Amino acid sequence: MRFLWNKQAFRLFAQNAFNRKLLSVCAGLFFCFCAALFMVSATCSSDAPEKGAWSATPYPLKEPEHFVKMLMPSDNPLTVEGVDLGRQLFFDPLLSMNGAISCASCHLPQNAFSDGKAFSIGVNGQQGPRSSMALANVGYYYKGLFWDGRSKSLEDQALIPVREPHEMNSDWSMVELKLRNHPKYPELFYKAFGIAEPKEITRFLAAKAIAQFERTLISANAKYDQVLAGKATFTEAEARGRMIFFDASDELPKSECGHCHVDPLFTNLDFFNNGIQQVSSLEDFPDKGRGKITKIKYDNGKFRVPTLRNIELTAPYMHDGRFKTLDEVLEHYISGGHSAENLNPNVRQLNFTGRDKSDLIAFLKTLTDTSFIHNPAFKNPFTE
Amino acid sequence: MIKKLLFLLASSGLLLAADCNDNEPIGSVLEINFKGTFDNAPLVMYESAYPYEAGMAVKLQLFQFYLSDIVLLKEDGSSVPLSDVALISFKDILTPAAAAQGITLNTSGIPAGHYTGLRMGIGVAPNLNSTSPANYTPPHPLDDNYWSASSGYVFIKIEGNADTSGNGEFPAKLTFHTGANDIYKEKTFQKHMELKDGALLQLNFNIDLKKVLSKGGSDFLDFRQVTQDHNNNPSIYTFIATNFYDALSLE
Ligand code: HEC
Ligand code: HEC
Repeated sequence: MRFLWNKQAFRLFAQNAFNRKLLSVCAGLFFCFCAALFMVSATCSSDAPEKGAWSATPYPLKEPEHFVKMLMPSDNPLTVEGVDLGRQLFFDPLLSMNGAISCASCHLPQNAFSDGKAFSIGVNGQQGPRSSMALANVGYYYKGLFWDGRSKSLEDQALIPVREPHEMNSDWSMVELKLRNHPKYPELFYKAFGIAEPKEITRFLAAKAIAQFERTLISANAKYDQVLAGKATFTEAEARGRMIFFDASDELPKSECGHCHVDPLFTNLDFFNNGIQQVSSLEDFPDKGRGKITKIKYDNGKFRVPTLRNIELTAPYMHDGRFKTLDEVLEHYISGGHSAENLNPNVRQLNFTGRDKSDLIAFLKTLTDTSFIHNPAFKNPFTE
Repeated sequence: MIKKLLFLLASSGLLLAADCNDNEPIGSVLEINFKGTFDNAPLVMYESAYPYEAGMAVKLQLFQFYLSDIVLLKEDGSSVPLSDVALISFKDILTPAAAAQGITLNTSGIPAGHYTGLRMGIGVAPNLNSTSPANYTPPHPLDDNYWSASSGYVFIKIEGNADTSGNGEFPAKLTFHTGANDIYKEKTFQKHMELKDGALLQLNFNIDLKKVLSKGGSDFLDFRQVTQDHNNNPSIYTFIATNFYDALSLE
């Protein structure tokens, strides 16, 4: 019973309230119909374009079976050459003003591609306003990147750090010049994108390559996954912690974690106030987070639910790195959080013993994926 | 508006490109609109406080539900499928104006003709409830709201806060999540409809959340006693499911 994609195209989609007036819909339909006719005459009569000599090799991405499918942009398919170029750019400090900072300075493989600091440090020791984010499974985050979701895609995001004063503090025209006159990059861009001349190297191609590399950063081989696949078993503490995490037993206390840190990504990609900040009104959040982007008062103090995969490796925690340990994080959740009009009601006082807490932490540590952080394909290519 | 045009453009383009034949009838468009209310007042998240039973009051942060196997019914008993599953969420309804517009599902390409009604399942139909987000490429209604511990989707989510002592503060945290195959139920709405080629028809549904939480009298969810259920307590989740079934109405 799948009707969604059948030939009659009964399309149905939920959407927010648009201003829909009968008149505009009719006009819209007419317009669409004309445009569609045009498209058809184009598609039905088109001959295949001539192929040039250049071609790139499709990248064999192994998507974990228990994950949702990754959304791939049609204008940036993964290729072996594109991913390789992206990896070089990701680890290359050439992208920064002083040649000292690369993407990997704040996204280190050994920290699951975060940096272990409360606030990231950019060019010339400048401190940024937020904590770095782990990039494991970032290719799946289709509802907006950054703590506040302000960037729509990895291609769009990759353009930003280069020009941020507290990150790489460079400018793309300069970086484009450096790449065009580099002994190695023109060749790599040719292999990845088939450019004819070095001057065709642009920021947009660089961003596409970086995005391709980031889509390969899949972490799905933690002990947790191995247990799911029947290749390992939980210890008693881990198994009990898992039941608590998913509120799966009436005999154990509930933790409510699984409402927001939904498996298998351990995030539902949505934005919430989880109560870490004490404020007297919604206008008082020192970092308004999502609200700064949407300008909606009730979004103030909301941040994107971060993944808990590799959480053992990504301390300190939260967008401002306020908690140094998982123990501190749990003490926060056990307290029920600071109240606010938009405090998510799933954050509520928990009835935990010391053992409940340590078992839950034992479970969280089964999300550590050592094969991910040691994957040779994700290592710095310049220090190999 | 732009998004809608693009969508229609894309879908009609696909439709026609697939056939390479522009002689086929284009069918008609049906807009299925859902408006939320609380005791007949427009349902607005966060902003509005609604008087509830026993002197209590309620504020909402989330109200959403799944509908499955939505079909149009014909006189001869046959049916025309409109959608296999849809998620109706009032999460972003933050103003009375947005509440007045409601949430709309668009279906297009419906064969012209006479129809006698519409049927939909409340929740995620069992055949889909046995799938999981791993079966879908986002964005898809079923890429979220999956509860792996019970291997199924959460059909209805109601989240908010309650003032339990009538003092204007809302300390009680409410989270009611229901969903299981045994509370999935289909509901049929009778309505004679004439669908014409190239024309648009709107159907307006209402769901009154107060009726989902309370049957009136002494039969209501008492937030002084209970503030959450995640399909654990049958007396709570079947109460919500039954009330929801009764409350969903076609104007
Ligand atoms: C100075 C440290 C720093 C550098 C350099 C840096 N980042 Fe980041 N990155 C951060 C911080 C901090 C955030 C979160 C910022 C925010 O939410 O506003 C972030 C967020 C991201 C995200 C969003 C992840 C998510 O889950 O939404 C991506 C992707 C990313 N960075 C990729 C890159 C790439 C690619 C580069 C190099 C072009 C780069 N970063 C350079 C610190 C850095
Ligand atoms: C209402 C949704 C929600 C619930 C319930 C919830 N979290 Fe979170 N969690 C978040 C959000 C949102 C953040 C990021 C907040 C910020 O940085 O301001 C977060 C952050 C975290 C972090 C820090 C991650 C990082 O990379 O910095 C950890 C660890 C964490 N949560 C664990 C848990 C555990 C354990 C539970 C259950 C006891 C839980 N969460 C329940 C939404 C939730």
